[in-house]
This record gives sequence, structure tokens and C-alpha cells, in this order.
Amino acid sequence: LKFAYCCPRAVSSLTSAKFAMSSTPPSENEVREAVHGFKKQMAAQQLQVTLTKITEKCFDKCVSKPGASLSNSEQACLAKCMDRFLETTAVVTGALSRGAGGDEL
Amino acid sequence: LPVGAFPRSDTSTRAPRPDSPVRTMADFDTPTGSGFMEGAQREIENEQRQAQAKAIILALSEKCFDKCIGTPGAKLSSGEASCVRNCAQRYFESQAYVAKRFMKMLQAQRSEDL
Repeated sequence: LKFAYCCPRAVSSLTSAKFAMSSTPPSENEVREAVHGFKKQMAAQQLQVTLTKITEKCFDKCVSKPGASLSNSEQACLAKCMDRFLETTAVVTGALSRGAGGDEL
Repeated sequence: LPVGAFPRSDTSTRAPRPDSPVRTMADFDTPTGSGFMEGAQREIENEQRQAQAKAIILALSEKCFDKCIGTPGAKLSSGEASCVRNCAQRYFESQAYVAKRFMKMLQAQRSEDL
């Protein structure tokens, strides 16, 4: 299977103990479930990366002098910052699909 | 199993269908083989392409956010939004420019070596 060589984390979800111990090739259902698991894993990873990015950016913008706790205004700023960042992502996605997106992606 | 079991554009994460009869890979050698494994392969590759595209979008959003948005407001002003649009397009133009110029540099280097 070609995709087994690409992504180590994907492989771990595909080569579960079931496959490792059996001598017969995986059934259709097993492959389907593995693909499904892979997709879920990718989505979870993507989400985590995005949230980390947002936290970094918005911490920089909103928490200039860290105090003993997050003030209300800092929290409000974080909320706005998060929304604006996600909006930025949407604008970038839109600009790409219209303009230079085709070949670069 | 219909070939459309793994449509390329389908990115939903719905659960696999339990209704179809379980077959082993030995069955796929027949001429009427459904291309099931090829379909699974394509789906995985599609996911990877999408992940790469999303990574690019995220990185670009980061850069343009830094460049275009100062203090986050209640919504993106039209100035901020057009700044972000320009930012994305100028980035790809920069990428093309750098690549093109680099090729020229390589060619100049090669003709010097001759």
C-alpha cells in the first residue's frame, strides 16, 4: 500500500494489532475503518495546530504584561483576536481559490 | 461495491457502512474487481493533499494576520480584509519571483562553469 510509506502516524492507525497478528490481508471493512480513522486523526491534528497558532498570535497581541490572572479585557481581546484570525483564514482561502490558488495548492 | 464508495471530493468523516458483505483481498483479483484498494488509496492521498493545502493556508493566514491586523476589533474592517487579500496574492507572486530568479541564477552559474 503506497500510503503506508508516507505518514508514520497514519500507518499506526492502519496497522492495528488486528492486522499485525493475522496472516490474511485486511478485509474491505477493515480498510474502510482504517481510512476513516486516518481521516479523523488528520482532522484532530489540523484542529490542534490551528488552536496552537491562534493561542500564540493572540497571546502576543492581547497579553502584553502578564498579571496574576487574565483580566476581563484580556479575555475580551483574546475572543476578538480569535474571531479575527479565523476570519483572516477565510479571507485567505477565498483569495486563493479566486486568484493564485490553482497551481500553488 | 460501487466505485463511488470513496468519492474523491468527499471529506466527511461519516462512519463506514457495515451493511456490505466483508470480502478479503483475494476477491479483488477477479476482473470484476471494484478497484476498492485503489479507491482507498485515492482517498488517503486526497486527505494528504487537503492537509498540505490547509497547512499553506494556515501559514499564510499567520503572516497576513501579523501584517494586516493591529488591535483585533469587533470585525475585520474593509481595509484589513483587502490587506489580507493583497497579502495572500503578493505572497504567491513573491514565491514565483524568487523561483524564477533562482532559476536564472542557476543558469548563469552553469554558463560560467562551461
